[in-house]
Amino acid sequence: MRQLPISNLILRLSVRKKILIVDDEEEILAFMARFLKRLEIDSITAISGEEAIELYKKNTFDCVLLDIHLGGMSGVEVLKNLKKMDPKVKAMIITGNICSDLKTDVHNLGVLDYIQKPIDLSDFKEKILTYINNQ
Amino acid sequence: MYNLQQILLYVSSLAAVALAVFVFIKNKKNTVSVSFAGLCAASFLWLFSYARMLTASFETVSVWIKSGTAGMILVPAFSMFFILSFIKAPVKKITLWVTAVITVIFTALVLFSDLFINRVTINDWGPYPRAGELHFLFIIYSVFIILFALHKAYKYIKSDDITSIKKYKVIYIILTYCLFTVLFIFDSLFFYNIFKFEPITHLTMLFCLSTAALIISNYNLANLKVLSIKLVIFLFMLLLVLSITSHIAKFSNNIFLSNLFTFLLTISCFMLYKRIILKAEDLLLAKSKHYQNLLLHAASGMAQEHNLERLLKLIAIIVLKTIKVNFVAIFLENKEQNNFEIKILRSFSSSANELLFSYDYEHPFINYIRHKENPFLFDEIPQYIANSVVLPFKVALVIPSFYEGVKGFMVIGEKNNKDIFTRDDINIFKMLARQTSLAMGNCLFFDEYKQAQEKIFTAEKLASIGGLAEGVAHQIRNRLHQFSVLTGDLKYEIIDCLKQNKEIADNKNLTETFDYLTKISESLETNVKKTNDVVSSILNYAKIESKQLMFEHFKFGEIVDLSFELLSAKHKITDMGNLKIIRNFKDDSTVFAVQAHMMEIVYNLIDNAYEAICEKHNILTGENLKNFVPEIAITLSKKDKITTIHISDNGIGVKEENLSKIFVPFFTTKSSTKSGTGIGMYIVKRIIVENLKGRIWIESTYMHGTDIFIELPNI
Repeated sequence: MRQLPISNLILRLSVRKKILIVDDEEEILAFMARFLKRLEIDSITAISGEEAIELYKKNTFDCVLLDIHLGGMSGVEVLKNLKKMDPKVKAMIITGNICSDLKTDVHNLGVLDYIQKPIDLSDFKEKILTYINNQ
Repeated sequence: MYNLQQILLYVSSLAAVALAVFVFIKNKKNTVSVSFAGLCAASFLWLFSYARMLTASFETVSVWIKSGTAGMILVPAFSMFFILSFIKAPVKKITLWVTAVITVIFTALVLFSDLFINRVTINDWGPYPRAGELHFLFIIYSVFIILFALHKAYKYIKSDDITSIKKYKVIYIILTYCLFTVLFIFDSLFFYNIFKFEPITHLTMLFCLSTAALIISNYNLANLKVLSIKLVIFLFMLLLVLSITSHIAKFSNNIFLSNLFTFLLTISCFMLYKRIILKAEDLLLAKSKHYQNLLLHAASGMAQEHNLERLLKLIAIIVLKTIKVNFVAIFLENKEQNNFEIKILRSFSSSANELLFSYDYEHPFINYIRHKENPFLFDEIPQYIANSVVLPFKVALVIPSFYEGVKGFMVIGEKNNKDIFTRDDINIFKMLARQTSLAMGNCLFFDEYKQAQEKIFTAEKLASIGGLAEGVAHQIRNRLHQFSVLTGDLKYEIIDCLKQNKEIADNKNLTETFDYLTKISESLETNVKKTNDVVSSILNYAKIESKQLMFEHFKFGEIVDLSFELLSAKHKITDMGNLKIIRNFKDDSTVFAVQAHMMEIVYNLIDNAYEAICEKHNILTGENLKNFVPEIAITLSKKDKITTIHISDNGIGVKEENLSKIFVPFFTTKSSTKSGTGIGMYIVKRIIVENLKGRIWIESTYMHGTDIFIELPNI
């Protein structure tokens, strides 16, 4: 499908948006999935970076919601891998502290926005909807 | 034409002149050097004339004899003057006059009569004068006046009021003159034509003069014992070599072999002599060698001591105990007071250990020391300087140390056994002074290093607190994230549930429950936000603390503008409304501080002021509200050393009972719905006091307003 951008576009328009959520806390994953479902956005969750990469190989996602702090592989590494696989990858980063967490440069890795912990749900909702609707 | 005797006489006479010049250059003009010069002149006349006499023609010989003998007559008189002036003996004028008159009479007798010398004996080595009837009087007279002077000198060394080095010098002079007197009398006997060999006047005179010259010029003298031992060994060796070689020359036919043997013997005996001398010195000077070694060891160990006070104590005690001197004192430069202060004083009689002395830069003693590189004996100092030095002990040795860095000097008293400080001692002290100066430099460096270390340590501590704060904040935020997510879950679950089950609205009980649940979720949400604010402000403070920030001059106005911008961003106000902002400072007024710190301070204070105004605004009603013009005034004033920042508002103010708690961390009066964390004023105070070295205080009346004053030092 990736080789056919026009058909891809048609497909996307017809299909609900799909987001990959990566976090190492199951409660958060479950909530995020529910929260997005309320916004009529489909999501698949991954509990680790490795799983996220596996899932990304099999599926197409409009966006990746990525926690920087993960158990094994760090968020930045995951993003780098995804970027290799799909140069057009888009991600939203959830981080505790923007300045100290993102010491490595992630500017060219397709980062849409940063979401500061603890999450402000109304703010988050606004951001995600703006992005999805603009696509 | 010239024989050996004559050449030696010429050399001796010229040497006498040279010694006079030498002493004059070394010691300038004083009675000692003048009398010594007189002695030299007389000797020159005597020796030079006798040298001429040896080869003079028959007509001129009597002239040389007369002038030479006149010189000889002057020698005992000048010797006496010299000895007396050297020991500074109080002499009656009449004694000097009598001596002078007698000397003149003898000279007259020589020049104008035959009573002193009346004939010339022609020996096989040359002519020599013959004694007249009155010559014996001269012998008696010279023996008498020299003994008189020596007696005075002896009395002098027996007195208590004399330094050991001076005593040593006088002993040398006495010994020299004893020898001289014997030889002088012996020489006089030649006038009676008793001996068949040549007189040895030149040797006697030269020996005498050179010893005196050395003594006057403060040359460090050898230990008497060592010197006499050396002399004995030398004579013994000389006799040995001479007797053996003469025997060999007598019995051997081969000149080459005997010469070779003599050569080898001389060389080997010379080597042997050196070795024996070294051994003898070791034995005789065992004690001083011992302490010299100790001092050397101590000197090399000094570099390990890093505390200046302890080092000085150590030096003083080592010197005091090993050399066994009267006292030791160390003076160090005090640059603030422009003087040299006594830093340590150790003495055998411990009573004086606490005395305080200092010498100004301009003090003659200090001026004198400054020009000296090497240790010197206190006796060398000109009298007027020596008199200006007031210490409770007799100083024997001064050891200056004016190298880079630490400047100072050490004064040492006399040895307890009254021995003098020898040249070896002085060399050791020279080294000790260098080592000490190095060690003291080390100490000072170490002090600075320690201070720097402390600074680094504090900085590291702050950085680690910063790091810790960051870590803790991170953990808390992760938890808060979860809270936030779960709160959201709760909130949306309720909304969904209500949407999907319309019948709930009909049930009063259920509606109440759902309302309650909604309130809980909202409360949870606000609390998460508030907690996060606390974390953020701590994190922010840690960040400010851990950064190595530069003190600089910057425009105060820019900081104020930026703070108001931040304020409007925080409170989401697009229009300040009727808020009156008074800026009592010029646009280009600068402040000397750390910019980030100042930003934190001004922002926090303005934020507080704004919130106080809002609170008052909320309380006021009716007319009061209409007339209320909110106002924040910022004043900057500078006096020569202090910058004062005054921020005032007409907000709610602080109740009197709360004034003292304003700077206590986590103290807040703001209602819980607001974002107050209670850490703002605490942080402001810490920044001002710890980072900017200033102070802050508050004046406030409830319902009238608050004044915050900040004083910062100008550098």
